[in-house]
Amino acid sequence: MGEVIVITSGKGGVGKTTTTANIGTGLAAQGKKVVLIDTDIGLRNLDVVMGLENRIVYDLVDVTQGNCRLKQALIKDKRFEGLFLLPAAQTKDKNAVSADDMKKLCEELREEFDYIIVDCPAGIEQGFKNAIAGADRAIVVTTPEVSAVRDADRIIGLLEANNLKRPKLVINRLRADMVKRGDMMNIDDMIDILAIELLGVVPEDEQIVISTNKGEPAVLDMNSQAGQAYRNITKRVMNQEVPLLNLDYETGIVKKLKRLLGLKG
Amino acid sequence: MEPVKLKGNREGLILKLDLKTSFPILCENIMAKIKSADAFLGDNREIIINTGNHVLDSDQIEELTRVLQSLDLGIKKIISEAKEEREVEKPINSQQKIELEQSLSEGSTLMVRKNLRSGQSVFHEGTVIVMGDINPGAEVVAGGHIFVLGHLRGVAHAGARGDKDAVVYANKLQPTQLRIANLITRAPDDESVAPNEPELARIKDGMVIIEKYSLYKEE
Ligand SMILES: Nc1ncnc2c1ncn2[C@@H]1O[C@H](COP(=O)(O)OP(=O)(O)OP(=O)(O)O)[C@@H](O)[C@H]1O
Ligand SMILES: [Mg+2]
Repeated sequence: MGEVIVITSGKGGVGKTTTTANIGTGLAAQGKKVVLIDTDIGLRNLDVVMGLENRIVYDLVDVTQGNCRLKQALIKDKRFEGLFLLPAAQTKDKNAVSADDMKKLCEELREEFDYIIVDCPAGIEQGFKNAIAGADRAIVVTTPEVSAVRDADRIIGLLEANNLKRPKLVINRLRADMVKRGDMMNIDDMIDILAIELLGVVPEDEQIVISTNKGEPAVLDMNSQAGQAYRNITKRVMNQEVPLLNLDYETGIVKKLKRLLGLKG
Repeated sequence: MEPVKLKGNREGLILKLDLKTSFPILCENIMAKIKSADAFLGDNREIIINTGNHVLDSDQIEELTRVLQSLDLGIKKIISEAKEEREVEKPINSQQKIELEQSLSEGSTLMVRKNLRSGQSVFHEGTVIVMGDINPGAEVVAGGHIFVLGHLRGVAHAGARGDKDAVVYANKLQPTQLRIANLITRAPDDESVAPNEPELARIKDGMVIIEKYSLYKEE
């Protein structure tokens, strides 16, 4: 029986789709059978990030409305045998999918896949409700900005209210240099507010932009820092223990030590 | 019959053209007609063109657009009642036959006078002419042919009811995906370069082929 994981954030543009593509591809690279579902109807992106846009014939709405069989809508990845994408509809009514539809869909996919990764749209409307409907676990993505953290907090509350207990956190686009200067929230501050387990920290990395444009997830790029971060996150998703990537940021202990010694921190 | 007639109905003003008249003369007649009826036109600057039993080719459409533009008029849409005269492949079953007949008799042409952006789509039983671009994420599905006078980067599906004779023409043909009848082709995965001349896609020997329009004409 597979596991359904929803990737969500509240705030838009913080890296849900990037995270979905990279964790999904990372899991497939580890030999898992994985399907990615794009639930961002009308603003789909995951197909582009995965480089699969030109293969789309049927989409999520076609499946829920019975225009095609589920198998027909699953697009096989070009790199990994066990990786599939169920794209969102781009030109159809986004109210065509209900939370019940998603539940049924996830149940069906669970039979055949190890992991079902659901890319959630921004916001807390119907799209969000659909995305979380069939999920067993949730990963919340945020960036080190007060507004993103505020929205992540709201989302965590909603997830818990919907019986998705103990979501895990991915902090994306961290800039070590800015944190050092005190110009960016540091990891401890965020964990302090959100009080959930940290799954990983992804640095700001221009390689992400390049790989997004090329349709090749950075997790496959051995030279990319963000790629390394996503490889580690993937392993943690599989419940393996991996130490946090050293991003040259100050850990709580170092900070406390400095404060004790009377240094600025 | 008069080569050019101007009528009004619920939908708006209709310019009915008799294409038995040679095209340059027809254009002169249009000029004269519109000028004499200018008061009648008023603020309504978008008109419908009805070409009767004929179908305009893209050169004619361009010329007509130019003539009307000089009169400060735009084209709302072009319609025709033309039955396309050509051999239809022997249908395999009656169901398919009904669908084929439906698509071929539905001779009306829909004119889309804007760029279709991501998330926008057009469905039409007959032929579709897009005077603009079809961007990635946008889609045109037509029972008949699809002509794109701009850049086709999105998805186009011609002959959507099974008409294998349908074609897709674009001044710049660079689709994400092309479908004709029940055949599908997609863009190559490596970055493709924009074509520098008009191209035409059609089915040949059971495959979708794309060729330069200039070569197709000579065939
Ligand atoms: N670690 C990173 N370094 C640099 N750029 C990044 C990083 N992560 C994401 N980006 C960029 O940020 C932008 C938004 O990312 P993405 O589309 O994954 O966000 P999203 O949360 O899915 O957005 P939406 O809410 O619109 O669905 C993209 O252009 C992406 O390339
Ligand atoms: Mg997204």
